[in-house]
Amino acid sequence: MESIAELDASHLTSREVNARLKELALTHDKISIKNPGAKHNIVVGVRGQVEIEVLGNVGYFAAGLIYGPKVRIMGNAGWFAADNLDNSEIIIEGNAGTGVGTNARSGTLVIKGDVNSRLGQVVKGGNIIVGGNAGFFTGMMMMGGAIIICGDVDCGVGESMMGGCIYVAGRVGKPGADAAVCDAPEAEVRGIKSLIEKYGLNGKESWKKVYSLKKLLRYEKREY
Amino acid sequence: MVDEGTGSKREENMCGIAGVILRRSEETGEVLYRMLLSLQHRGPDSTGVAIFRMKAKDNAMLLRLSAKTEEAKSFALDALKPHWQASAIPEWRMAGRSWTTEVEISPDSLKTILSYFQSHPELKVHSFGRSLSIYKCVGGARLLNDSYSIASMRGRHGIGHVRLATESKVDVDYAHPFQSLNLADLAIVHNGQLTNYYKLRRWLEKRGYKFQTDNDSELIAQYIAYQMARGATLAEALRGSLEDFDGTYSFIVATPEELGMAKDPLGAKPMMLCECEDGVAIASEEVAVRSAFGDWVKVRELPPKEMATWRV
Repeated sequence: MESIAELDASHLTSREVNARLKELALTHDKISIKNPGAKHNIVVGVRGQVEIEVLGNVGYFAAGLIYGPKVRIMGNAGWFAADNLDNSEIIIEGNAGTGVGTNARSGTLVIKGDVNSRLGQVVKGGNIIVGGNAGFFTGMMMMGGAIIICGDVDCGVGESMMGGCIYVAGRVGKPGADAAVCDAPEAEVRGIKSLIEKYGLNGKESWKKVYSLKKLLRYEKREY
Repeated sequence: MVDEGTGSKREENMCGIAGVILRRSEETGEVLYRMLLSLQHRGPDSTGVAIFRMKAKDNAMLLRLSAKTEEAKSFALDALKPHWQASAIPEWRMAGRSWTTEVEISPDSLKTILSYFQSHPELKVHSFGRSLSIYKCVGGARLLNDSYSIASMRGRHGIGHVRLATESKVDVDYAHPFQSLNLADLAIVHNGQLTNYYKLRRWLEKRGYKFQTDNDSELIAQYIAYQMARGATLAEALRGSLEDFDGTYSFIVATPEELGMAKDPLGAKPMMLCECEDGVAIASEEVAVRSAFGDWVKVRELPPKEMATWRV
């Protein structure tokens, strides 16, 4: 039987929330955090196969440095949410701020609303999906993985990217340095659609793909 | 620093700004106080608010001053005596390492008094206007409230700031909000750094704008005052700032009729906004906006190179 815990964050510091979460994650399958109060740095450093639901909005650096959990944030997230995403699933039901999904390595990050600038900078792997629009410098210095934007993306998309792909259903702003735009191949579009439909998101029939021209930066060995 | 709200150590950030218009109440002081408490981790050095009274003074200007020494206080009183519109001598309050006071003077005397004060290096004007008062201190929001009872002040709108000093000293005169001595009833708060500060400052000084500090944020007040004195609306002045300012910035401007904001083209400094039936709240972080209007209102982040104004 699934064991569920509730954590009321209203009178706890961020450090106390995280410490308590880690204790509960050892013995429970699901944890609900009430009254997060847009605190910074919560659901950070949690490991294990546990579902965490945050019943409200979070501040900066939410759900960073986690390994294993499935996290659902029912409201908005601030800057740098899902920092270093690895082997986890994070769903943000609202909007998210700047620098979200920085340095993701594997797993899936979904933002159902809009995101601000610098989404997925230096991403190495995994999937980042945005239901709404994304700001400028999306995918800056990206090395791998996929960023999927169901709405529009602002200028500077793929700035200095080295690998990976950015798929956009809406308007694509001026690409960044060493990035180019083409129509996404049908097979890849089918893959995108089946992925985003899992999260209740839709896109158009045709998608644009932003990719690296690989002229600017040259590396002999990739990290993986 | 130790967080005043929870007593725990929190990471310091880089200044926090807040602004609010209330459409259904007059508890601006209380709301601003809550917003600044929730932003305190962004700036431990100084805190300040600018609040606009419900009813502007008809034939008087409110002048708020600071003085660093007893000599400066005497100098100020001697300058003010022929002009103030009250029977009692103004009371000086200690605010960190300075004293502050508030007097009512005739608008006709304003120019004379301001130029007299500018001749004394240890006297500074914090605010002047028919409805504006700026209160600031070295320390946090709780100290500001203990010193001036901010939470009980009434008004329809106001702005506030918590400071982490970067390029100028920790001193009550260097705390925000700032006002230009060239335009009454205008206040600004700022998060960021203006990298072409000296160039713009020299340009404004050549046009007669005198700076009281070397805090780059004061430039914003002077610039907006300059533009509006030449007939620009607040919106036009803010649009101009997006072209003329270089650096990273989010700032909020308040006049008796409006609140305005601008965010730099790189979006390097945060600004969150809520527009709802209760009013308008703008702040560096969502937590402050929600402290004004609650957990379930819609809050969005303003995009880079954006400006906006709202009528009170």
